[in-house]
Amino acid sequence: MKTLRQKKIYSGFIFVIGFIMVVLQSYVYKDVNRIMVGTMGAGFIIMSLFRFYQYHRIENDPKRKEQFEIMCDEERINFVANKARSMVFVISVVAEAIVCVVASLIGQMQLSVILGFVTGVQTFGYLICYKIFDLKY
Amino acid sequence: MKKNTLEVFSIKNIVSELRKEKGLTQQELAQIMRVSRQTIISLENGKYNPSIMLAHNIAKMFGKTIEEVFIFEEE
Repeated sequence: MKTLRQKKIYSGFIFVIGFIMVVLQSYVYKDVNRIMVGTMGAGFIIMSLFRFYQYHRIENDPKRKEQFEIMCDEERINFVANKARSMVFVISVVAEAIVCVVASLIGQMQLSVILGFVTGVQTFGYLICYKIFDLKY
Repeated sequence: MKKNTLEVFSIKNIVSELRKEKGLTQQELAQIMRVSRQTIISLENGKYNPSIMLAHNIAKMFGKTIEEVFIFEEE
């Protein structure tokens, strides 16, 4: 039950962000940015509404709800998900670093700076988390 | 001189045999253990090693010890 409630809260959060984006695009942004922000916001709203519908169906079916709760908390699924996340993180950081270097070589300094900053923050964040877990376990 | 090193082990298990002895399907065992059927499949195929908690629960369910269900073989 707790897992389903957490997921509903998360979907609610996405809905609110989407709603804010749709409202903001009317007043703040212009031209292409306006379309992009509005479309993204609409996407978030649709996605979160679809999720709410899914959770509603799961809640009304006891067998499905039990299965859903098991799947959310299941050790092998968590193991596979964590493995996938860590692999994607490593690939992302390396890819960002490569693009950062290439961008600086071809004169795209703004892109290079942004990517360099993001890569740095991700790496620093990883080191902090590693230290915390190292102390915890 | 004796080397002070740990031996390397591989793990085999007899979950499949024990499950069939009890007349359970993979789905039924998964439901009892509160895991997915895919976990039981991966476990029986030796692709996934369970946590100590799950290993303990499986062994307890079959009335055996962990070492009887999950066999450590020296490589």
